[in-house]
Parts: sequence; structure tokens; C-alpha cells
Amino acid sequence: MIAKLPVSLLPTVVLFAAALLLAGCAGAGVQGASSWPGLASDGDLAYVAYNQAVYAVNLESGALRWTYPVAAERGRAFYAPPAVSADGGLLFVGDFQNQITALDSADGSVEWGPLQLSTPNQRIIGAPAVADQTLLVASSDGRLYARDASTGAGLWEFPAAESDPLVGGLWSAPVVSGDRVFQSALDHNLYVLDLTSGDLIWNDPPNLGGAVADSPVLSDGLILVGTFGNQLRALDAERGSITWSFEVENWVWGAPAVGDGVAYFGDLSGVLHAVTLDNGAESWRTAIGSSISASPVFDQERVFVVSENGLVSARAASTGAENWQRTLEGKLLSDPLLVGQTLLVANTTGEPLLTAFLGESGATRWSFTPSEGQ
Amino acid sequence: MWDTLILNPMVNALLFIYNLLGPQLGLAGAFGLAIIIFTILIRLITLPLTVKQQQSTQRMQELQQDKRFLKLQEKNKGNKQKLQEEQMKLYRELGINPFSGCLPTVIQFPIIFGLYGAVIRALAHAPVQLLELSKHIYSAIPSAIIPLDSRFLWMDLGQPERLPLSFLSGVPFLAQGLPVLAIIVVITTYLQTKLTTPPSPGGQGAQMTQVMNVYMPLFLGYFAYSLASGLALYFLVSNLLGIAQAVVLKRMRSNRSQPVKIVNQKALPKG
Repeated sequence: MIAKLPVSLLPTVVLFAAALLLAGCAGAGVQGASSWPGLASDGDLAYVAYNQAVYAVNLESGALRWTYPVAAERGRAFYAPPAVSADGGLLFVGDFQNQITALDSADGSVEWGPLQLSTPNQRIIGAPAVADQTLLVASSDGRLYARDASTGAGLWEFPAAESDPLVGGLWSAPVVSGDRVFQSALDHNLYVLDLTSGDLIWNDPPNLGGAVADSPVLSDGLILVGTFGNQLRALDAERGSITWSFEVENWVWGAPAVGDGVAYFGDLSGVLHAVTLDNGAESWRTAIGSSISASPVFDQERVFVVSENGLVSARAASTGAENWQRTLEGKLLSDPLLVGQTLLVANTTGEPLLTAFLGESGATRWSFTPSEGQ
Repeated sequence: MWDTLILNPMVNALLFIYNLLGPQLGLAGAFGLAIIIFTILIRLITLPLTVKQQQSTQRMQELQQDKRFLKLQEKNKGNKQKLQEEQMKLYRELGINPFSGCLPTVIQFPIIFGLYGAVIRALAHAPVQLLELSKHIYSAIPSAIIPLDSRFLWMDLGQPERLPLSFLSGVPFLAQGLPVLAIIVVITTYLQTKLTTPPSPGGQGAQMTQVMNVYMPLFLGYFAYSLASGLALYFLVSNLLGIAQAVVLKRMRSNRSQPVKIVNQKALPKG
């Protein structure tokens, strides 16, 4: 067949093939999964935002309760973990067209929205945060938006990286503590704001030495932040000065899990670290075998961690020794979620999309895969 | 293999130059400048090949004016297949590759694919892309340069280029702006292809050249229109350098009074 191809057509064929290949590369939009599933739960339902839908799954049975939107909308994708309102009645979902929508958590019907935040070529990557009636939404456009949670009306906006949204996008969920909002950014800074007014409290945001893709964690008077500068940094929560830094071999993407005075976190070289909060000294470390981008979770006795190669691992919090280990087909990049004794793990590339394990034994309780058209 | 040999060196070369120009020297538009410098380096590396190709092109041009070549055409006028066979035979005997005009263009493809992958990867705008980038960065590149500043002039090098013009706001297809770079890429690709491919000698080589002359500017223009503008910047700079190179080589040849020698003179058919 190829031998019979006229030579004069050869360049056309080559060019056409090249065009198709490049166009294919460029089309890594919605279907190409530009992020990983976002997980949340209100205790009864688990919510998974992935690709073109948000799924509400019964936490006991793994049965699908509802899907939003009912039919996939062209170009609209969901990856940010949803957030549940203080009374549990609303679910806030951000999408990759920079829109925020409030849903009725019982049936997935729209309460308000979708509301466009700046331009649709930006994205909501981190989970929204809810503090009483204030909904906080961080966007890749470099702005933090405060909205009235019940109506979606604008309260204030904070331009963390107004002059340079391309390098200063906000990919992480804001964290609220008292009347303060803590927002980390890709521009290497940590912004601390007043919850009511949106005013900057620390006028000179501390430079963390690397981009920060996940949220800060507040514990024991410290703010803990993992950075792409291969560090876990601990800052004084009042003054913002750096208390200690812990060096690792690769980027720290996921936020640490904190318990009993120890911070547990993974890095992209595939090592799980346990570091004492008091002085930043290493308590233990263990190689998981593949890059860790997700935050671990802690349940007093165990630390649960997932890695890119599909490994779900439960480690003794005190020593790092393996309790149990399971392997799923696909990449595990999302933060797992512990609801009671159930560990929820979302899969980025394989099936099932969501698996529920018993935290104690690692036995599979149920798994959920959206069927065609869901 | 592709990642190790093509993509990773390209990503890291771009990051290295970017780090030097942006974070170290504080220049604005460092990623655009990095692409320009990178393109110049690629052109320098492929220069021997290009020179060889242009010499071959020159030989083709001279051969087409040769009476033996013309006689061959005349003799096999009614038999296209025979003519092509005879021409190919003659090319082989003279050490001329009739498709050599396409070579620099074709050799660009791995570079285009590699650069496209490198630009998209380096300018990661979403988590999966950024995670992917982390796997391709050599340890010598400081991770503090992440994320990169992708702005260059009016462009975001990770997005298709459009020059926003207020008077175009109501015009269909141009409401987002004028694709200036894509238009210049079409023009410069046409000029470069014209300058570096021989005039029609007849036969399959001629058809191929004609196809390249028409389709190549359109294809590259389409890529420049629809893909990341970092790639369009590469096309533009590469084309301008190619045109300059072709002009210089042409002048150098015309300054030399004697024509380029056709190799293997003895092999020429009698007549």
C-alpha cells in the first residue's frame, strides 16, 4: 500500500500526519484530564469532581445519588474538590472555565450560578472554602474571590497576583482560621487577609522560596507549607517569620497532614516524611516507590498515603512501618479522604473512579465507576 | 527514547536560557527570548545540512539548463514513467538528490514536535502538565523558576497568538484579535520554501516541490494560528534565519564566478 503511494503525495501525507498529531497534542482539553479528581464529603455522601461532571455517591453503598450537570456541557470540566456549606445544604463546585456554582447537596439541582469569575480561560483548581456565610474561591487568575454563600453576590476580591496572573495563579484552597484567611500562591508567597474586608494583614507576604500548589496547614502556632523549592516550611502564624525549613529531594506538592505534633508529607521523589513540629527534625522517612503529589491523611494510629503508581498505603504513624498496602490500576494523584473509618481514594486515569477502603484493614468496601452517559 | 533524546534536552535548554535571562539578568519576556536563542542554536546545529541542501539545489538548477537534461525531456515526452526513470537514473549518476529541497523542511518536524512539547510542558497551566514538567527537569535547573513567566510582547506564549484590535471586535473570527504571527509565518514560510527549493524540473520531484511550496506555508500557518504562540515564534524566527541564510549563500555563490561543479562528470550520458 505504502509502496504504491505516489512520491509526489509523500510530503502531503507527512504534513497531514504532522497536523493531525499536533492538533491531537493541542486538544488535551477537557477529555485529556488536565487535573485530577477532587474529593469531598458531608458524612453521608461523597462528592467527586472529575472531568465533565460532579458525582454524589452514597457513602454507605457506593451507589450514585446524582450527577451535575445531568448532561455533559461542552468545554466544561470539574476538578476542584467541592465544598459543603456550614449547614450542609449547599455544595459549591468550581470548574475549569472559572465559574462557581452552588448546588442543592441533596439532589444536585442548581441553587445559584454558574457565576463567571473573570475570564473563562482561567480555572478554579483548589477547593472553595466556606466560613459562615462567606464563600471563598481562589482562581488561577491570581485572585481570591469572596461571595455571599447563599446568593453568590460579590463581597470582595483580593488580587494576589494582579500584575502577573500567569506566574501567580492561586491553585490551592484558602484556609480560614478565626477572622483570617490564609492563601498560598504559585508566585512563592503566602497571603494573609482579613476575612471580612479582604485587606492584606501581612503587608509584606513571606516568600517561601518556591511555588506553592496546595493549601497551608495551621497547627500549634505554625503555618506549614510545602513548596516546589523542595522544602516543607514552618512559619510563625502570627508574624510570618520562618521558624524552620525541612529539605527534601523533590517538590512538595501536597499539604502535610498533622497529628500528635508531627507533620506527615510526601514529595515527588516518592518519599513519605514525618517531621516533628517543635523543631523540624525528621522523625522517620520511608520510600513509597513513586511520586507523591497528594496530601496524606492521619487517623491517630495510621498515616494513609497514595502514590502516582496506584499504591494505597497505610503506615504506622509512630514508625512509618507498613500496616497494609493495596494497588489500583491507574494514577493516584488526588488527596485521599478519610470519613469515619472509610478511606476514599479517587483514581485519575483508571477505573474505578472512586474506591472506598476500610481504614483499619484495607479491605475494599465498594467502588464506583460512572456508567456511560453519567 | 523520544523524551530522553529530544524532549528533555529541549525542555531543559529552554529552562536554562530562561533562567539565565529572566531570574538571573532580570530581562522581561525571558521565555520568548529563550525560544529565539534556542531557535538560533538549532539553526546553527543544522547549518551544515542546510548548506549541503542548498548546494544540491544549485546543482539541480544548473542541471535543468543542461542540454542533455533537456534532451532527455524531449526524448521521453510522451512517456511520463520512462522520463521519471531516466531522470532518476541521471540524478543518481550525478550524485544529486532531487528531494533534497524538502530535507530542511522535513527535518524540522522532530524539532517542531519536540519544541511544541517543550513549550507546552514548560508553560504548564494546569496541574497535570506541571506534574509532568517536574519529571523532565534536570537537577541543575533551579526549581525556584517555576512557574515560568510566559508573557512576551503582547502574547502569552502558552496560548494561540492574537493581537487585540478594538476595531475588529465585531468582525467574525477576528473578535479575539488579529493572528499577526500566523500571517507572517505563512508569508515567511512561502518565501523560505521558494528560496530553498529548486525551480520545477518536471517529474515527481517537481510535483513534490510544488506541493511543498503550497502546503507547507498553509500547514505552518495553521499550526501558528491554532497552537501555542511559542511555537509560532519558533516558526517565525526559524523562517527569518532560513531566508537570511539562503540569501547569503546565494550571494556567496554568485560572487564566485565559476558555476558549481556537477560531480561525476564522466557519468553524464553522451549526446
